[in-house]
This record gives sequence, structure tokens and C-alpha cells, in this order.
Amino acid sequence: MPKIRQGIYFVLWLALLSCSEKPQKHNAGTPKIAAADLGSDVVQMAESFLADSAQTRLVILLSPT
Amino acid sequence: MVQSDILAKINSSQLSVFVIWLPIMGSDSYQHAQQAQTLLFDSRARHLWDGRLALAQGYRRILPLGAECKFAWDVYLLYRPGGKRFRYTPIGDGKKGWTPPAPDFWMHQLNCMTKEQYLDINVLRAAIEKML
Repeated sequence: MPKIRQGIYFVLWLALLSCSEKPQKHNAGTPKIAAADLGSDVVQMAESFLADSAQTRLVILLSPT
Repeated sequence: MVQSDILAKINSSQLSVFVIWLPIMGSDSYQHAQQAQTLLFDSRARHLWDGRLALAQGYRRILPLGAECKFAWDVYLLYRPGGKRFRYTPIGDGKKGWTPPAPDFWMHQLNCMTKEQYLDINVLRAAIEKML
């Protein structure tokens, strides 16, 4: 089961990466924000982000206006 | 502020940033988030629109916010290297929900909170640098 779970995280992580195209320059355009319609999708994306054990992670929750 | 005082000053690839945009104000929308993300344009930053406030509610449950704070937002959460897991836990009224892992350090800019842990960008940057 843990391996299946890890596999799911890996696929979700790849999906998240593909949704957040990285600009090469600071003004190189505006990538699309990943949007999840279901709360569970958001949780899975956040969990896959936090499952990355190699880095220090800063999570920021903001209102856009 | 985060862009100029943190991301521009910390050059490490060991830092990763997840920005979660929330519909807190009545006028907030995905389109507004799409525009606002340009303020945090660092390639280490990933952006997500949490239209159902799932994470705002989840973090509300684990952070010691004031009773008047309905959601966790305008908060800055720091995690040391090491995998973290969400937990599926009771959230009241016989329901269960996904609860995020507690951060190792956090600050806020909420009016519904005391000034303790109110965001000081220099303190936050120092905390990040210490964890890298």
C-alpha cells in the first residue's frame, strides 16, 4: 500500500509540475495557476508538495486582492 | 515583499515555495489569482488556486488562531526538509477531514490574531536560512 500511495503522489506531483510552467526569465510570461475543483485534489497536491523531503518548504496562503 | 525580501535574497535551490491562492474576499477569483501570481514570479514558486478553501480550513484547524479567524490565510508556513503527511482526522460534527502537518515555523498577517508571530519579513527570512 505505501508503494501505491507513493506512486499516486508521484503522478500527482508530475501533474502539478506540468500545470505550473516555470518562466525562464522574470518577465517571461504568466504561467497558468494549477486549479483544483475538488478540495481533495487540493489536499493531494499540497501533500505531494510536502512529501518532497529534500527541501525546505515555504507554504503561503493568500487572498489575491 | 516575499519576492523582494526573501526569494530575491535567498538564492538556494533547496528552497521550494507553494503559494495557495484563496477566495477570501468577495471579489477574489481565479482570474485575480492569475494576475496576483506575477508578484511572486520566482521559478522556485508553484501556485495553486484553492477555490473550495480546503487548505484554508485545514490549516485553520491546526494553527492556534483566534476565535474570530474563520480561515487560515495571510499565513506563512515553513517546513524543514523531511517528508510530511496529511492526516485524516475527526473535524467535528462526526465528520472527518484531511488535516495538514503542523509547520516547523509560521507567521501571519491577520487582524484577528494577536501581534505575536505577526509577520516580520526579516525574522521569516532568518528562519528559512537557518533551515536550509
